[in-house]
Amino acid sequence: MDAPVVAVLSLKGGVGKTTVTLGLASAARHESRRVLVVDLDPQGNATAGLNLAESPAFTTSDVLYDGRTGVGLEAITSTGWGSLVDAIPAERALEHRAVPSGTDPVRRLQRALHGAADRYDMILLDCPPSLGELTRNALFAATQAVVVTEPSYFAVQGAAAAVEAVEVAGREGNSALRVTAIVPNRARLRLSEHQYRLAELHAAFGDTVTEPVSERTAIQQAQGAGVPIHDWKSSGARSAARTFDDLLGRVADISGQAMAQDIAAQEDS
Amino acid sequence: MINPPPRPALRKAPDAHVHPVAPVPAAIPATVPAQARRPELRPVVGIGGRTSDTLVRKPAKKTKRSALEVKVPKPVLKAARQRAKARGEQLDDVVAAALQAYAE
Repeated sequence: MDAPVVAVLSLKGGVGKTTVTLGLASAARHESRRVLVVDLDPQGNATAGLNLAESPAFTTSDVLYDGRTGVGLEAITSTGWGSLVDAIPAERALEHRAVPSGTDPVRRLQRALHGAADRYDMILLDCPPSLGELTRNALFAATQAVVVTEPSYFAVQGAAAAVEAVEVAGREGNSALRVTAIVPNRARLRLSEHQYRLAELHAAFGDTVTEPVSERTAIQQAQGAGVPIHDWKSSGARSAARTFDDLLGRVADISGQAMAQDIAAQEDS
Repeated sequence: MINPPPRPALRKAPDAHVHPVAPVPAAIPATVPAQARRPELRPVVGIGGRTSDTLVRKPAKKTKRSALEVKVPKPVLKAARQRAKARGEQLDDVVAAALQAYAE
């Protein structure tokens, strides 16, 4: 069974895609799972959060420019998070790859990552906040999509648009892709507006919506220090870590279901 | 038994040091030129198609084509040919798409 490839996306900026990506990576590392984080955002926030020891030789920009099958493996670099978490970092020049180019352009990332799923327990794709070529590539390479939102009017609209994008990608060729979770981030549950938007999300998407990730200073502190949230010592960090543990459980559970279906299908045939 | 030829290593993209706001020099192709790639990366027909527009747009029906003779500056023709070749496209298709966009 190949590792799940999880695209973390939102069409709205600033809702915390990278926070969720790094939170999932931290949770997986905490469970001694091997993770590859592929930074597809030219802002490179995930790259910065992973605290790379030195300037990377290659980035996702180079990988997508090259586009050969399996070439992404050559761009994998170690991170400051230890031996369990590797990355293909991003750089500003990744913006040049945000337009379709070459043959079969939406599958360039999928081809480039060929072979990576054998080496890791999970691959996380941190998407940019748009429905451009980079996000499309992520949606054709992924087996699961985690949609990040926040309890606000615009973000709820963005979540709906992201779910629709996943459905289109599923119809157009990546039939394995499904929305595993819609994660409300930066929630302040004492605010009536946030309560209203969370109820709206649940009404629209049901059980796909996870427990909200509360807005916590500890998350920003850990990101600033370049360490996993599970290693940050504070009660807020422990609470956030538990939320990401739950989210990881959901991703792993879906992967387990897919594996069971694969086995059942093999036994039937 | 024949050993496969050595696989060229990943290299930095030539536009790696070009700021996204700055224009990319015309000499830099948008991707690795087709002839530099391995055979399995030749154009794939079908789902996922030649451009990402297949995500949102059904493929256009094939319509009969007519010849059109136009005169364009030589450097423009040369650059367009190079770019089309690098992207694995036919220049006819590129011109047809540009004219269609203009007409619409």
